[in-house]
Amino acid sequence: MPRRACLLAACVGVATGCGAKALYDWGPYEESLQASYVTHDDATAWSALEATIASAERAGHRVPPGVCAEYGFLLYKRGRRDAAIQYFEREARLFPESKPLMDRLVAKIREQATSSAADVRPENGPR
Amino acid sequence: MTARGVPVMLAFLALGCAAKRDYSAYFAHEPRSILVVPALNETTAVEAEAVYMTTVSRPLAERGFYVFPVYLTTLLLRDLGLPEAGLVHQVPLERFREHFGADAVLFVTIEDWSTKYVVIQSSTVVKLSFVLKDTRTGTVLWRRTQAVARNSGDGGGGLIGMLVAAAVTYAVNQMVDVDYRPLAVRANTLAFATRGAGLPAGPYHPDFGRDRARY
Repeated sequence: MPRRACLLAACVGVATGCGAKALYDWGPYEESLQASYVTHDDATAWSALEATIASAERAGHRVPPGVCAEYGFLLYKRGRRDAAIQYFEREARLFPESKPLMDRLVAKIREQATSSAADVRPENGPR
Repeated sequence: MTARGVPVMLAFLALGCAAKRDYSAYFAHEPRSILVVPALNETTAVEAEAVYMTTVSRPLAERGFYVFPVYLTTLLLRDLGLPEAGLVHQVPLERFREHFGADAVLFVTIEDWSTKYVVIQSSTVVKLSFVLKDTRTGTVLWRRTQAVARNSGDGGGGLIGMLVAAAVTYAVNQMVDVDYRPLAVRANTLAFATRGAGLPAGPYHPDFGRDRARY
């Protein structure tokens, strides 16, 4: 009888343990995807990504995979190349699996920066 | 003989269950990172692909894999001259390794994304099929089909109550689009996280490397 009770307790423990523990703090990340894919609303995508990163940082949780990279790309689209590079590098630090892609994106931005250095100064793009 | 018979029989039962799904290819090329490419939409619901793409990263990443930024992936594929899922699903696997550094690619096909009205009830169905392929060899690592449904019109009060409920549901569905997101999320979660049939835990999951007996 006590053995059966133990087994039951163990099962419940396993079940609740699995259900409750999320690996990441997702914040409003899916809202940003909704804005990008469905409503094509860059401003909402931007603020939702910003909020996702801020929420994970505040709670001391891991930023989910892909979030820093998506945010870096929006920074790049707004002409903020140095900030974009920082976020691509952050994605690569958090998730080494992304390093080949992030390195490639960073190299591309640097290439563009040098080829257009004459007329565009970095960090001067539209916000 | 009888004492030995029981474990032998159990072994057979276990083998019988395991024989349904073969994870040997999966474990031979166990991926750390997964690239989700645009879903192939086989339905007439034009918005299904865009809505679906917002639902897949989270349940997949919560299984412990590195999931590439899904929207950025869509844009980069467009830059590579692959604006449509139909084209992306034809690309040789090694190109995804070359361009993204991904270990595996998840191809999703949307087979059903519909709401049907049967007299006084409506039934919303999302059916997805998943194929995960290794980018080094092109080998299929895992495949699964998952359907989920949601019925409305349950629990009315009498025939008139049911008719009114049906009319209201119909009107609401006409005015506001049916929300398929929760169904897509559930289909993803069931497909990826079902023990013994889903994906074994990836490297960021605490069960990584410890759950092989279940697969």
